[in-house]
Amino acid sequence: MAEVKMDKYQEVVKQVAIEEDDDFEEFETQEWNEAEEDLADAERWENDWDDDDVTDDFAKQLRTELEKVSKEIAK
Amino acid sequence: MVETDVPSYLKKLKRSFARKNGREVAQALDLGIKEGSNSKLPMSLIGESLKRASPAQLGNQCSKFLGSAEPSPKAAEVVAACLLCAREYHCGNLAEAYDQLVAGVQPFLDLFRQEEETWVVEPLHVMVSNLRHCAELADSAIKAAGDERVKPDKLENAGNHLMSCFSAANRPQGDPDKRLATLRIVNSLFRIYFKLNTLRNCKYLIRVVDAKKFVAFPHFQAGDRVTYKFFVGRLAVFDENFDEANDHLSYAFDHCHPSHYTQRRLILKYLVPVKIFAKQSLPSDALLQKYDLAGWYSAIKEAVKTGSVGKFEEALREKMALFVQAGIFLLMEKLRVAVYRRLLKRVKLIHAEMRPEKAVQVPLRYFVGALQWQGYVTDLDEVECIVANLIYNGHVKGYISHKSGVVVLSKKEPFPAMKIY
Repeated sequence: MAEVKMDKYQEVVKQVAIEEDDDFEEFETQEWNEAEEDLADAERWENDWDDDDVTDDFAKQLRTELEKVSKEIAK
Repeated sequence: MVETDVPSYLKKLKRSFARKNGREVAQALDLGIKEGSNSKLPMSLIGESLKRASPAQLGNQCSKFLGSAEPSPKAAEVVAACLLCAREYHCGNLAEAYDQLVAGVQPFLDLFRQEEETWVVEPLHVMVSNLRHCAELADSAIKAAGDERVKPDKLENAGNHLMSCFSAANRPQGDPDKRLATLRIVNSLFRIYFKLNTLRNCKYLIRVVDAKKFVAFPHFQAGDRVTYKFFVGRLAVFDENFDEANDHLSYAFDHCHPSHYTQRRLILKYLVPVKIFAKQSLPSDALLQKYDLAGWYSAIKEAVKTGSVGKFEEALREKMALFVQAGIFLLMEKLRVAVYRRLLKRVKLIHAEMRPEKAVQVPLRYFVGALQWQGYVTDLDEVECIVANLIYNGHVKGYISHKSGVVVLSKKEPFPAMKIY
């Protein structure tokens, strides 16, 4: 299933990753009002994306492709 | 008054010690070598004077001004170590600077233990910060010098000293609030272990923090808690404990004040893939925009959402360097199976509309066609194998009829809620 060439990377990935990681900046102040929020959680995450809707552009093109396959099979 | 000479600096510091003013003592001992530090720190201001003084002179001056000082004669030893360190630092001898600083650790911990009150906590934080930053600089200098006989082992050494600091703070005499110093030391140790790639050392500290007899977590300052949760969350990502990682990183993100944008962004960088694995939640476009992570995750999100295998492979190829650097490439790579599942699900849905009477029997050739359209060169045998894997791993419910070349899907929940790992 893999298209990306993994053989070289797989071994080195974990080491490289930790070494070159960006630092978590130290806080200048340690105390703050934790009640302040910027985005409500519901606005942050989409949970209902795995739906049965097939009307978006990708699905429309997929339908066209599948119709071609269908005709092929019918031949 | 600005003190630029050593005697004035020591006189002022003597008063700060006598008044047990932790903030002033901490400021005076701060070497100011961490990035973005205030160059107006007392120790920076006397830099030139330090360079001119001999080590013996500095030692004598410390004894003279602080030797009999309240609260403890240990203060003279601590300050002497810091000044000698700063002297080497200003002269550009970074490895020597670190070695000088180390001499101050034990006297400081003696002082920390003797003192009943919490004023010693801030100076302890400065000692810890000095040690770590000085050790990092020393190691860089040693590496840059390129002498193979000299090992860059100062940071590892600093880790050992920080463990002593942690133990001292964790078993304090006097005010139990002195223990509130512990979590920030743990965080400094995490930073060291992440840098040295000795992550197994983190486990012991996590066990101590998790123990019932340890300080109740909410008592620590917000910044310390957020930092701790960030690192523990990242460790859980490495261990592929996504539920745990989700808990820790969500805590860090939710408790990190919105004004700390860079930290929130970094937390989110790891939280996004974790959320997909743990909760099957995709980030909203607003979230990705707000934290400038669209370049990282938009294409991947789109691919997972639509089932676009082509887009997924393209995004993975394009973002490989980014993902490898962040240590999440293997994680992102695992999403491939989710994209295949989603594509098969959509093939099934469209096929069901085209041929309602055969809704659950999807010819494998449809999936071959869909994948080929997505730029994936494949054939019936390989596709049968892909679908068999999806079934075997529980992402799809059904069976393959090899003879008729169809996948027969379960009527009930043919595509169970995605569990990728």
